[in-house]
Amino acid sequence: MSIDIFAPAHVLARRVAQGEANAEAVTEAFLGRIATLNPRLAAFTDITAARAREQARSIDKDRGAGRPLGPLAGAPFAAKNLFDIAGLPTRAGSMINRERAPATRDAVLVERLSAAGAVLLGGLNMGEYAYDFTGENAHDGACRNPHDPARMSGGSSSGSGSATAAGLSPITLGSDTNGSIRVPASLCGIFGLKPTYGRLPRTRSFPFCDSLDHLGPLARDVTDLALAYDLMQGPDAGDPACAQRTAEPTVLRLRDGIGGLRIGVAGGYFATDGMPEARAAVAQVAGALGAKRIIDIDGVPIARAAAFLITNAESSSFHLPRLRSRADDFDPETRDRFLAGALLPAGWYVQAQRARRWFHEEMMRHFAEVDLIVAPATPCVAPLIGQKSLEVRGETLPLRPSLGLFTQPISCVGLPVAAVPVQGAGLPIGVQLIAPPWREDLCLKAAFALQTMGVCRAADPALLPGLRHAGGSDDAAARPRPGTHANPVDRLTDPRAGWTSGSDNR
Amino acid sequence: MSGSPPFDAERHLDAMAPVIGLTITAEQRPVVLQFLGIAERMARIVATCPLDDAEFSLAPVFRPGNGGSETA
Repeated sequence: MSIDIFAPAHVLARRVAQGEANAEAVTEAFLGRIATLNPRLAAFTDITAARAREQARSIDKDRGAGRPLGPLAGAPFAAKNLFDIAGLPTRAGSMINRERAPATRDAVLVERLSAAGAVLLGGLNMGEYAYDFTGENAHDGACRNPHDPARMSGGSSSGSGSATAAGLSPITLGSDTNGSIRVPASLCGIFGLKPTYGRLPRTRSFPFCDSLDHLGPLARDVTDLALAYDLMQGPDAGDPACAQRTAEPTVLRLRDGIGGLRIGVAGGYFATDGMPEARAAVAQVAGALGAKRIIDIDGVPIARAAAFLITNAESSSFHLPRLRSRADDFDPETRDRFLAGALLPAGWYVQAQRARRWFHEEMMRHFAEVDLIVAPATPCVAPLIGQKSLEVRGETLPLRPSLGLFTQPISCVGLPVAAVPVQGAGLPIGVQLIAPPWREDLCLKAAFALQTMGVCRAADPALLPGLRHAGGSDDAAARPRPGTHANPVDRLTDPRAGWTSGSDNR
Repeated sequence: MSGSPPFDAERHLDAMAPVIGLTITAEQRPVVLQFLGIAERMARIVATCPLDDAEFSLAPVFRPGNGGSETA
């Protein structure tokens, strides 16, 4: 049975539903590919093979018995290792946490995708306690970029970016506090969605910074991204920050197009002078979307600084007992930032929360004029692992914080963003599509249009000999271009209707 | 932070670390001071925010009884 390892998850699920492939064969193809490639990429930290095989067998049995299947039945997914996975300690990229008792129940978002039939393959590498943009980790090793393993995957959802790009899992889950979905999506050349703050419940995921933590999906295909997002929507009592909003499905509206949308390009702070790859990518996306208007947003450095302080203060306060008793067990790259953050004067933090409110109002004024804003996702393509500084506009800056230069001000005020990949002459780089609060549908529709036009696509990693073909059959020539399937959502009326989730606390 | 005295990261660290029960080793100290310096620069940027001095609205809002105890 031929399994196209780079086929979108919804296509794999359709093949399973139609009996063209069985879930066990799909699962085995991906487990085989992980076994071959993960030692080179360090994308997975835990592989839940027994659980995956058991679920796949159950799906095949259900299909054989004529029972209804979930919208992602048989399609693989994996989760950043700050999501609880029943039976595993939630390590959150740290050494300290792996001494915790194994989780007794999956995180809500893992439950929701599993209930939709998606098969969990395991937990993914990440920067320690999510305080990272590089993908480097002192405990689990640097997560590598499948387009060039000498380079960073980006972080902190490093394994999510690397695994998705490498064809180890078509859908992954990540978290984004200051850019941790969008940075790896950009450096690894895939799609990522950071929903509106409060949209997806964080229940049973390990926190970083309560005021700014978001969860969301990464995928190689926009329909997969939208479908996974739709299936995870809905409030949960376990996350007080989660908005009490019913699900607002997007996947059936992807083909509505972008006609009539007022789209601007972020200027000023977001200008890409001296950043040739970012500049070219923004120009390509803006050109394809017909965006000509330049939006100069006031106060962006204030928003970035506010996000920095809020993150530093909240996360350090959260980790204070661990810093007191086990500072040496932290990754040194995160430890010293946490130690400094624990010492911040309260007034700095409070002022940052006031500034965040102010910048939100500024952004809302711009969204009275435009529906979507195009901005760069990262200032550069993937840097080399171990690189410590970055040239930005002729200035040498420390690399770690600078990778989040363009993402941090946006998550500061919780706006929904799709990161979309542009394949340049060499390595990929991402562009942000930023929408007003609760309008993820606009980000996703624009992303879908860009994918259909061929402007944005998740390119197969071709720089490593032998990497593309490991595992299943990579029949890329026979694969339709993303977004051009005859009807990519033909099984999906409303992805959440007519099928019952196993998550009981929605 | 106009009007406030210059921030002395070393004095701040030496005073605050024992207050909250943190031991900063000699190896950690230079890097922690560097990050304190970055945070202070960020605080100076935030201080330029044109806030109304009669308004005090923080971004996090706590809604008693409606903070996750209901489902839609």
